[in-house]
Amino acid sequence: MPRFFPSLLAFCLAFANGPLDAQQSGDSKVSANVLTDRVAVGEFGTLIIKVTGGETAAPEGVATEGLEIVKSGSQSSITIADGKQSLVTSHFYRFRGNEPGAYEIPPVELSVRGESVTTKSIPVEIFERSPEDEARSPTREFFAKLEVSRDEFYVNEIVPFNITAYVRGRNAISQVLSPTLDHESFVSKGFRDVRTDGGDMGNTYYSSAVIDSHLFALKPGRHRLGPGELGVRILDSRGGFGLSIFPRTVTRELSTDVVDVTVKPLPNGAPASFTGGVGYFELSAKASATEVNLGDPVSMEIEVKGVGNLRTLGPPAFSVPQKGIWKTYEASKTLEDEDESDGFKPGRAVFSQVIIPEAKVGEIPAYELAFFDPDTEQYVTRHTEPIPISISVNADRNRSAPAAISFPPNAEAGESFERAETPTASYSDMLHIRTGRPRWVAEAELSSTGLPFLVAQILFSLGLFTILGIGAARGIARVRSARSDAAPILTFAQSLKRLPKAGTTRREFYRAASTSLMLWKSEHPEAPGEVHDVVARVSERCEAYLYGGSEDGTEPVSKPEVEEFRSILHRLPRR
Amino acid sequence: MIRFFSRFLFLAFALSAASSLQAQDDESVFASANRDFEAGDFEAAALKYLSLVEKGRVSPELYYNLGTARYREGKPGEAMLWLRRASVVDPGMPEASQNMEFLRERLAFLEFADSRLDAALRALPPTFGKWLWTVALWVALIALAAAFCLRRLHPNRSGLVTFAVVAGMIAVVGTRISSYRRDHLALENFATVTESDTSALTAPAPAAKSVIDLPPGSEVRILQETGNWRYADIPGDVRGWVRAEKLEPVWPVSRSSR
Repeated sequence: MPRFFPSLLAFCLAFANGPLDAQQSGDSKVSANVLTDRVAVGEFGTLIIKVTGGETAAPEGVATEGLEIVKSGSQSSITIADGKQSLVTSHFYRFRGNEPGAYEIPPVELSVRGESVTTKSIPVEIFERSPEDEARSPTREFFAKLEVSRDEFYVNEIVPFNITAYVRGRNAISQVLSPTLDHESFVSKGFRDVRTDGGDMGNTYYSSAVIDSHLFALKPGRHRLGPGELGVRILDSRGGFGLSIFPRTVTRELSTDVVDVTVKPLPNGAPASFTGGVGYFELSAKASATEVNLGDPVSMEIEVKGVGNLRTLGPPAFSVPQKGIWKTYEASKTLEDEDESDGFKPGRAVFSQVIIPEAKVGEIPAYELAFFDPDTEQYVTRHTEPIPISISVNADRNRSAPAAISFPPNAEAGESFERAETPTASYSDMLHIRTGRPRWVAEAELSSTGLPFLVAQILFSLGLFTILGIGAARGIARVRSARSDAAPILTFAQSLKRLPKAGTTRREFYRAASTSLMLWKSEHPEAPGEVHDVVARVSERCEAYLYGGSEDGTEPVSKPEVEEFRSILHRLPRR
Repeated sequence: MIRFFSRFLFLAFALSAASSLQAQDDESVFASANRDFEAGDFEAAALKYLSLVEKGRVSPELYYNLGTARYREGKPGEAMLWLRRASVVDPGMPEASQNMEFLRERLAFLEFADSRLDAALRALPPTFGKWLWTVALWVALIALAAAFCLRRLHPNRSGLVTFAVVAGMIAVVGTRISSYRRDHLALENFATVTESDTSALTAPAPAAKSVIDLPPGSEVRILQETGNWRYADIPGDVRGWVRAEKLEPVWPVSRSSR
């Protein structure tokens, strides 16, 4: 049932858009390919006849001696380019041979919109499989097969392949699960469409499910593809409460065989505009505007159509460098999944690029794209047509001084300007190394406090200890002074109390009396003159005794003498 | 005397000449490594840069170039380590900052986010705290000593004592800054994850559960060293045990450094 949907969709689209032939491209093209040209005896190979540009009725079978070729389905799609629709129909045929040998699928004649077109003949080989190859033995209940359309191809070339699951019995496959084909040197597209089919193999009927895809190789060399893996849900009529209308399903994991392929490197001598394309492409370009001012951006749309690796294809570029004439920005690519080429069906990729005229020229120059055509094994270069353009010089834009005067714009006059965005740095890669002379740094500079710290500590400690030393010296001097004056007389009154009594030596008594008189004089400088005279006379008497040298001073002082001095001293006026 | 002076001059000249020759030799190795780098032989360039490191040479350009070579060799963790070291030697080196920003976007490693206080303290010289508290303490002691020991300053004694108290408080602040820097900001505490497939674990045992993955270039603060394991503070208030061989201290640069 799923295989009818594409046809139905194509029919509906064609109906909705009116008569297809009225709008479609006038080019009709028919091609025929086999997925593999070596098929084991009794096994099925796949023939695909692709018709582009119109509807056609394909025969249900192709009569060939030694080969059985039967139609197994068809699939249609519509591509729209430049406003023109193009219908592409793929007709799938199963073929097999029962005797080993070399055969040829004959040309198939088809009628497309009244024109008769013929496919080319395709040689195929039917070979006897070795008995030890158990994987595809018809005695097995289920097995899987990997078919690659070519066993020798180029790097980046799109190569269709399919994985087919075979299960014994009619309508035995309920669902196909997670097909995979992994290889580090190949990129394969995801598996999408499943075609179911069936046929006799030996004397046994097998249901088959075919999953188409395509791949391309990343590096040259001899590689072994596979085994591919897939799961199938197989109908088991034994289950389901004993009723066949509720069949039970069981899931089986299948592995395909392997296929050895040779991937050839692309030859040297690629043109400068080669951007990795392998296949066959057509190129066209159109501009968003053909009348612009100098410096205004023009958006270019460059369309690449054809069969090949559109997914990895780089953008076309001007065929002649345009430095100083056209400023170009990086092109972006748009490639929808349904527009991708599968190796048979042509695809379509659109590159968008902004270009800005920097000089007054009359045309947008031609774009150029070089690619490698694996059929002719040569590099091919395609060019677009130059696009005429009218570039006018905007007077305001080029008049620098007045522009500067009128900036900022006069809001009242309704002028406005677009605020430019400040560019920001993008860290897309590391900066290069520094190649100048290195600055050698002493490690000690980084973290230690170093000599200045030590010097500062010494200076601070010197200052502190100097001050402490001064203080200590003063303290010591004070202590010494205190010790030398054991009983210091501080006042005249105190000296009177300490005046010796009768019986002490006369020298000691007179010295104490003299001291008392001196203290009185120092404490009473403002006393009347007559009192000072009395004190002076008594002092002279004391000094005469003490320093006259006539007495030895050791004799005791008499009581009357002591009383006399006491009475004089006590009578002296005090403050 | 003249004889002694002439011998001293000769010795100084000889030492200066030897030092100059050594510098020229190192610069020729540096230039040779640069040529290897530009020829695309990043491994040879890195080995030559490392030979200078092993000789104890410290240079922001040397560390920067070594980091760039390590990146080109496919060792982004070590690249980040050497760029951090270049930034330690020359904190204002824009090339190192730019390449670190590039690695930051590319590797998405973990880094400590500086608070304002951290940023301010990092902007100060590393020995600032030590200078502050020692100078403030000396000033306080000298003011006190002057107040009580110098007779001329006896009339200003109360002012001097107040000044000494303020200086003492500044000294306390200085000790706090010094200890905070030592415990939280000192480069010696930080390490960079240089290996891929590194995780912080809940315990110092290979079978322990993972706490968090540490992409190459991640920054951790070492809290404890136990055998081949390091107990680390990880950005995001996370802690865990990391294998020692997965880490490399940012500073000091070991002469046998990778």
